[in-house]
Formats: sequence, structure tokens, C-alpha cells
Amino acid sequence: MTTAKTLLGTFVVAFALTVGAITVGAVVLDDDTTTTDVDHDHIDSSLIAEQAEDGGEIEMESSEPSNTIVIHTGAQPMSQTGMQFLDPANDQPTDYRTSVGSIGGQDRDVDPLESVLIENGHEVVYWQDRQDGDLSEVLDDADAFLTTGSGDLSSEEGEAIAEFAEAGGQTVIAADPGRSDDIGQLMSSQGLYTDAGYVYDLDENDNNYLSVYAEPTDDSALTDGVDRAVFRSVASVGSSTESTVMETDAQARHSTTREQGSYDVAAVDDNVALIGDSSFMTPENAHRVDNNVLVGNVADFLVTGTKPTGELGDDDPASGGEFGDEPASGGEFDDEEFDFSEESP
Amino acid sequence: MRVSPSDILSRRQQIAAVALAAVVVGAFVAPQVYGQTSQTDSKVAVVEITGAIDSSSSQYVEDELREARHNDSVEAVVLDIDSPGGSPGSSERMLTAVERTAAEMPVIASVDTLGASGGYYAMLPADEIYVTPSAQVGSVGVIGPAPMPSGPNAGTTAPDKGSFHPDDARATTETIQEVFLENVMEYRGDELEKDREEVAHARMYVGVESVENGFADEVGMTDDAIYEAADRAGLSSVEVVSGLTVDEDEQPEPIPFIEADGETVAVASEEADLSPHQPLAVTPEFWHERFGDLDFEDDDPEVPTNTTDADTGGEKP
Repeated sequence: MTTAKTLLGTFVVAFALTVGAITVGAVVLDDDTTTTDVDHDHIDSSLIAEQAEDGGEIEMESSEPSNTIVIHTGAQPMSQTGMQFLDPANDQPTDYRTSVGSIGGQDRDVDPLESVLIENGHEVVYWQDRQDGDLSEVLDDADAFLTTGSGDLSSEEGEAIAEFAEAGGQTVIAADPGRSDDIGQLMSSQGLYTDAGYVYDLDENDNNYLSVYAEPTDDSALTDGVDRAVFRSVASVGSSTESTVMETDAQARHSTTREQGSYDVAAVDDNVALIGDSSFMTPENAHRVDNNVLVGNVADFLVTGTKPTGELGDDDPASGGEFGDEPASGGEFDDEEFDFSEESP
Repeated sequence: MRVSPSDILSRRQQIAAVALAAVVVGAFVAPQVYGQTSQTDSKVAVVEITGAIDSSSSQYVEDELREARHNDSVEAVVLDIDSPGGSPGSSERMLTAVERTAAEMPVIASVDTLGASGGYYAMLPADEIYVTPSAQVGSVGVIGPAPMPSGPNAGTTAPDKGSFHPDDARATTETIQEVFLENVMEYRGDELEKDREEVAHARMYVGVESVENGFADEVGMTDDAIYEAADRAGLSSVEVVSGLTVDEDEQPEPIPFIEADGETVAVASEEADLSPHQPLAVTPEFWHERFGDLDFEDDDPEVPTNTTDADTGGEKP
């Protein structure tokens, strides 16, 4: 009996030890704290945004004697802080400058152009609104006119610019998307117009879909020496005389149709140049890729040609013969259809 | 004549034989004992990804999924998603946790309302994405501050310490977007009917359309996702568990109430920690709702508030 008890006791102890040891060991070993490797090899340096080349001097080739260039940059935008979230390249932006990377006042936006003109002996006159005098009178003394804020012009001011251009005055219209609605009527006599909406490129751009590249389509004074320019938000432009001189890459799209293709963004008709963007002249953008060459060409374009004469308006008996005088009646612009007088945003 | 073991084996040999028999029997019994002590019934864990994604919510999801991987009773995971996105980095943290989990067990994502931008980003490695017919998924894009130069400030030691150059701002946002886009193409490229450029348009797609174009896989509810997860895990019956890392004794924070226009309304106990000054992987609707009314001029003293004078701003100190 004693032997049987001993054997039973041995069995129970050995059994308990075995089960216990295996169970505890399994629990300990099964404390699964290992981690599965996750492969992120598809994330590599090729995804780092490349910066386009920056630099280069802004130079003029022209040796013209001193010209007077009137520059109009439009109304002060509502806000110029750096933290606005707006899509400015729509039809009615609150603040178009949020797309172009500029801050500090309208004049600063054309500072590189102003500098090169002054450096080459030319006079720059800023005209912003009626407080700076009557535009037609200012243009009487001008050789050239450039605006980056045509949407802020009144009908009378639009007439004065159109007459100035028709009289042979060198005129550059830089028309940002959303601020170019009236360009068609302003430049219709030159056969130039802009389209509503904006051009974008998600494939080939300068680190933003709005920052599209454009290349010359033909030899022109405006594009001489330019291989590639970048516009921070650009409207497509057109010409009745097929005088467009710059176009985007073929994979660009238009905001209104989403259709892919090359879009014309600049045109020149004799003494008038229309560019669907003004951002390329701002200090932060004027040296990006070949923008510096383009800015220099704009400066050369402005000082080229002859000064409009005082014979303008002579065929209108009500005109005093001075360029820019109001037509006696009607004129080319019908205020009801072409109202420049609306306040800009 | 009958011979008993005691007649053949010595006492020591008898004890040794019994002990050996006990070990053998014990070895057979131990796995069942271990199974009873360590295993419960196999389950499908449901992990919720709700609201804006920030470091806190990504930490929670990461903990939940880690627990799911280490809990032997969890055989599959369903991600129950309703999110407009959030911080790109936090979304990537979730993505990595989802991928790590999907390498060990079936993971099915389910969207009944919104799984967009960073919310879509987080679920990319799931084995399948279930959507309700009217859910919205996609929005593969980044929203950040418009790239404008801000004013200089002598209180900082360098120009990029307190402000930024617009070219750099564009490049930063673009790089984050490229990583987002690359991940979408990596994880969903075989299913997507759209090319990279179309995906980059950042459109949101309604559920029924997303199944057609490959942004999602199946039209179905969260229950369908749970059954699919159980089926993939080979479970004959479905038991669901959620809140793996939540202490049962822990009471949820009470929802605070505020007085607004004479009415008492409940507000979220805590908003996701997101900054409008950084690129975010969120839907435009969320951005406008969250940040649209902010006065950034007051918010950032380094930005000149009087910008009517050209000399006050930009790089003209």
C-alpha cells in the first residue's frame, strides 16, 4: 500500500511539474513582442521637390534715350499677409497676390522692372488712380504704359489706354487670372483677349500646379533669349492675328474645361503686348529660370518705338488734338456693356 | 504464475517509470491547459479612426493595432473610418501601423461617411476598402498656407526662423504631396483606374464611383467588412471586440457644454492639434470649417499688418 501511494504521489508531482513547466514556458515564450518589418523603399529621394534654377541678371539691350514709362499696378489688395488660404486663380479672387508670392505693396510687385528701367536711364511714373491725376493727361507725356491691374481701370481710363495703344504707344498688359475680365474689350482693337479661368499643370510645374512653365512659340522681341519662363498663375490669351508668342507645356490643363494641351499665355501685336500673368516680374520670381530675360525684354519692349503724337483724336472734332482727350460722344466704348468703373475687390 | 512489476522492477525503477509516464502524459495535456489559460475565442477587432488625425489619435490607433497583433485572440482587424484627414505625419504613422498589422492578419477598412485625404492615407495598406454607396473617399492632396514672403523680424536669428521664402514653401508642400501621392500609387496603383496625374487632382469620389475607379474595393457596411475579415481569417463564427487598449474601469471624459445664443450645446471635448501654418492632408471643407475664420494677421506677429506701405513688408525692412 505504501508503494502504491508513493508511485501515485510521484505520478502526480511529475505530471504537475511537466504541465506547469510547459504551460509557463509557452506563455513566456509566446509573449509576442516582435514586430513585423515594414518596407518603405518606395519612399526615396526622388520624391523631394526639385527647385528650378534661380539667378541671372536682368538686363536691357536697348540703348534708347530716356523714355517715360507709366506703370499702373491697380488697387491695393485687401490683405497681404502670408497665411491666407485662398485659391486666387479663380474668376473672382479676394486677393490675387496670394498666388504669386509677393507682399509689401503694389509697386514692389514690379520692382525688378522698375530697377532695370531706371538703371538704363528711363523715367518711371506710377499712376494708380485718379488721385494721381487724369490718366489721359499722364499718358500725354508718356512713351510707354504698363499695367498689372487692368481690372481696376474705369471706362474713361480704359479708353485712354486704348487710344494710347492705337496711336502707337508701347503698351504692356500683364493680366492675372481673375483680373483680366475686361481685357478683351480693352485690347479688342489690337485683336487681343484673355480667357476666363486659369491654366494649371499637375505634371510639369515649379512645385505647384499653378506655377506653369511656358516657352516661346516664335521669334519675338518679347521672348528673345527666353528658353523657359515660369508663371505663378496664368490666364490663357488669344490673338485674332495669331500673334501669340508663348505657350505652356502640352500637358497643361485649363481650369474651366480641364482639357489638356498647350495654352497660349502671351501675345504681341505690334506695339502692344499681352501677358496672362504679372507674377514673373515680382522680386521673388523675377530670377526664376529665364524670367529675368523676360523682364529685360519687357523693359526693352516698353522703350522701343516712337512716342505717340499729339495728332491723336484729330478726326474727332470735339477733341482738342491732345492725345487721350475724351471723345465727343460714344467713342469705342459703351459704358453699359463695358463698365470699367466697378470697384475691384 | 502471475508476475507483478514489483517483482521485476526495483522500487526506484518503479518510481522512475511512473515519473516518466507522468511526464509523457503531462506533455500531451499541457497544450490543452495552455490553450485554456491563454486563448479565448478568436475575434475580429474593430479599430475606430474618427475625426481629425493628429499625433494623439495616431498614437491611439497605433496602440490599438499593436495590441491586436499581440493579442492571440484577435485574428483580424476592421478599421472603422470616419475622418477628413489631418496631419500628414500622423496619417503616415497610422498607415505604417496598418501595414504592420496587415502583414500578420487580415485588415479590412470600412468607410460609411468620410475617409478622405489623411483619412484615406491611413487606410491605404488595408487588404480591402469597403465603402457605403454614398461615402466619400479620395482627396489625395495637401492644403497649406499660400506661399507669400512674410516680413523680417530682428527677434529671430535667421530669415527662415521666423518667415519663409515662397519657393521653399512651395517645395515643402510639394514634397509632402509627392510622398502622399507615391504611397497611394504604391498601395492602390494596381487597383486604380486613374493615372497619377488624375489622382493628383485630389478629387473626392462617392462610394459607388470609388469602387469603379479603384479608390475602394467593395460597396458594403462595416458589418460586411467584419464578415469579410472573419472569412479571410478562417473564423467559423464572428466575435467582435473594440477598444483593445481602453481600460474598462476608465470612464470616458464628460462632454463639456457651453452656452451659445442662450442655448446649451455640446462641444467636442478636445479638438485635434493641427496648425494652419503647416501643410495638412485634410479636405478643403474641413480646412475652411476649422481655420477659415482665423485672423492670421493677429495670429502671426511677424507678418506686417500694415502692408499699405511697401517699405513695411517683404524683404524691404
